[in-house]
Amino acid sequence: MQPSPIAYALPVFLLAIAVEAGVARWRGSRSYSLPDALTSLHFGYLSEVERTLARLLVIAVYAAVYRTFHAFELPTNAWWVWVGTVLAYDFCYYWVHRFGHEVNLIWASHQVHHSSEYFNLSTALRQTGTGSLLKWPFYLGLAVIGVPPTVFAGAAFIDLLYQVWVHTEQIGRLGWLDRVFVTPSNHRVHHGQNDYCIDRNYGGILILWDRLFGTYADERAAEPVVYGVRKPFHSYNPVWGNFVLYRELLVASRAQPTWRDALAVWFGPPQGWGAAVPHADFKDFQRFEKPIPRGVRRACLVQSALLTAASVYYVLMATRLPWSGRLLSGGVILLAASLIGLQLEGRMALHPRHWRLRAPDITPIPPEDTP
Amino acid sequence: MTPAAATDVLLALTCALLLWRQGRAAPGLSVALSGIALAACFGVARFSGLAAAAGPHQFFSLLGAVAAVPLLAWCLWAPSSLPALQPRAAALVIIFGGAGGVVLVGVLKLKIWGLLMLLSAVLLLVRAAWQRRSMSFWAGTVLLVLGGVVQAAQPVLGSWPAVAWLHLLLSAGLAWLLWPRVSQSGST
Repeated sequence: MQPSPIAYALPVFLLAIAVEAGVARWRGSRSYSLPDALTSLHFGYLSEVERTLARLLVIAVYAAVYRTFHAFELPTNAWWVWVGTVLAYDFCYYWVHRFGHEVNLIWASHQVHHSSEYFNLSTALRQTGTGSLLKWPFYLGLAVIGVPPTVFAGAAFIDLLYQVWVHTEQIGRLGWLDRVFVTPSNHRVHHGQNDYCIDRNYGGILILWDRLFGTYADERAAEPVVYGVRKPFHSYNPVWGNFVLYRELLVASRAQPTWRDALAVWFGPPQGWGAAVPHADFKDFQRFEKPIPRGVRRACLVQSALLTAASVYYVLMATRLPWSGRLLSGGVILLAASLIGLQLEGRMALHPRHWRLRAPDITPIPPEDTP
Repeated sequence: MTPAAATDVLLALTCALLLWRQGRAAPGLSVALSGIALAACFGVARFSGLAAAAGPHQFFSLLGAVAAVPLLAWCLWAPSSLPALQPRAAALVIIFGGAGGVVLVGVLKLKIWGLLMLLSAVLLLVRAAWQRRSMSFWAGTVLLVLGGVVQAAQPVLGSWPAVAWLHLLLSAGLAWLLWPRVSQSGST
């Protein structure tokens, strides 16, 4: 199996993030926060670690279903197979994504991507570390049609890659493109927690699926989008962020009187079965931001750079490692990301000079806007 | 047209008719019937000689056995439960129950899982029939159980293959189970 192509694309993503942050600063837009952007990257690294552990299983299942049930032997080198597969994949993605928002079990995984209260290219990398095992059933139809596993994996990467550029506030409306494709404008709506944004614009490449199935919403100039989730976990720790909602669901389901009620918690929508999404007022909304001393900020930046290098190296080498090696290396990356998160929250400091600045007695320092 | 294809046409038409009769009254039953109808449509193509339909027919038949039929039985046993009333819950049963079942039975060859699902469906149907004390419900249940027996035993009955009898028994069983029920209550 080839290493994840994300590892090769990461330098380009990081460059794009730096350029976008520069443009945002030049325009005076508060699109970035250093701790938030670093946390997004760390979520992305954990997601890649999970993929090295679970992706093999998911692709093996897809390949086995393909071998057993495929209708056609589609060629891997025909352009129409690729175009058709990307379209079919995007259709399946729409439903995966829709269920990802409307079913607690999958939302617990996907909410990670929506947890940032900023909207920028780093948000695109803020991916879940628990999703692989929940999404594969939605794509089995492609295996039954006869989409070869290599084409399926390629289409998945194309769909993922397309979605990077739409996570930005620096590109405005794009006319007719906004009504056909997923664009920054309609994807801003998707990341909003305003009433009109909830459960809207699920498309990956084409927004036409939303128009077809009645989940499309246009961006409103009069109502600025407030990014994030209605139940924020307020943490820079990506490990906590990945599991916090599962924990809540476990607690809620254990409190139910019958096993059927417990199942209804896991498979129900976040607002509850049959309930409408409640109204929320964002007049006094404040983004999650912890004051961080400049020294801690610099230290975290250095550690994050080291973690980036280690994660890329691990993802490139993972296929050559035995399972024990993968688990151990993945565990180290998990621990490192968690420790940086704790430092960003002021709950831990590596340098004795910052020990006195631990959370309870920290002196508020105005946060910087850009990394 | 072969007997297997002809009886699959009958099964698909029975499901379509029951779906049309129900409208939106019972979303869970509609989802289950759609799953069975889809398998029947691929079956028509397969048994009419279209080789490409063999894989999809096996896939959707398996999906029907491990998810759609149990869902149907569940909806009849507990008509006020979430899978019976909420399309999303019914779809989740088909997606996760179906995909899991297909992998367990079709890929990992754990046939016991398919048998367990069918046995659970039969038990739910028998319990539902007992609660309702309706002759047509009992008749439908017996026909569906016979269909399961024919599928498991693969007996030679006249000139028709076992699969044709399965389709016939399923069609008759579904019609007995759902037609009178819909006309009596109008909704679940």
